[in-house]
Amino acid sequence: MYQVETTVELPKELFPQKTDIRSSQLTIEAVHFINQVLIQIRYNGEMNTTYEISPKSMNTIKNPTMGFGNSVDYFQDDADESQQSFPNHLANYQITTRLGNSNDMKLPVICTEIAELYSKIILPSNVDELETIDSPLNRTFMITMSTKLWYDNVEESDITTNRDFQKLIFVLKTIREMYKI
Amino acid sequence: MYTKTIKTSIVSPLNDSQSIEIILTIPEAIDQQSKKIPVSMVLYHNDNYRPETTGIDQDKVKLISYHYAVPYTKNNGRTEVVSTPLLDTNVDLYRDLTRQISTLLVKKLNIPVYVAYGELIGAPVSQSAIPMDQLFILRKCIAFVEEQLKKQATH
Repeated sequence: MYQVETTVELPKELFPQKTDIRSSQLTIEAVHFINQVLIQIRYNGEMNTTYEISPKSMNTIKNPTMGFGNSVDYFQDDADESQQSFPNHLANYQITTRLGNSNDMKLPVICTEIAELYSKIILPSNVDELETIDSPLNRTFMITMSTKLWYDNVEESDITTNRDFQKLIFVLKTIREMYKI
Repeated sequence: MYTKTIKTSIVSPLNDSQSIEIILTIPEAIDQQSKKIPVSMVLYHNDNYRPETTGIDQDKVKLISYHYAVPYTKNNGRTEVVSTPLLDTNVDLYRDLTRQISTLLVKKLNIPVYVAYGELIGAPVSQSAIPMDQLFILRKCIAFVEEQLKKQATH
């Protein structure tokens, strides 16, 4: 059972706080089992929601709707842009809300991005020495985190100041640095 | 730092090669401000314990049960414990253990608790070993958490 942990300070521009008594901290802890990866993302020690992300692979099917779409023609030229299929990695995972608001639309996407980081970079590097080339473990992710990271106390209705994407990048970067990859 | 993580092995008094491996994350201090900082405990039962090797990294453990418990104050002011399995299992022993550890810790500490229980895979099981008692594991885990919190308080 492999375990890593890191604590970093949150940049004030990305994660503004109403009061400046203590600096905001992000603590990430990951425990690797052979069937699951348990991830805990704490904001100032707190966490309050849990999602389970399991891989459901459709990677082998390049264009699942070929032949069944409205305007698809087998013999049409490939230069036509409507023919292009864009890989959508969000469809590779099934997300279940274990604890928290199941109607939330933002957090499942964030969890999928974290799962994608693990699947594409961290687990293939075999940092936990549990993966084998012949039979990939195909592990499920259980992510417990704090909704306060993504839902500010600061009122924010202006979409141009929405920092969700930068926050996500910051969290992904912190996870990657935790594994020193 | 809002939390502290401690790893330990609790060896069975009846059998030197049996132990409970624990990774525990506790809040720095339990006070009014940190009532929201949960305790997180990951544990598994090891039948192949050797004191020389810090075996946690090498062990292949499968996550079997993950439980969450939280104190809930009702309208009449009384506080009770509510809990839910985040990962349920049909193995009663593990599910009961995680449920009991988490609810008892909440009763004592009045903060949310997450408990994960794993099963060690691949290690040879000694036929002569007396299996570890559920009550023993329960008691030792709770005692360990309380001991660590007391240590924090005196620092």
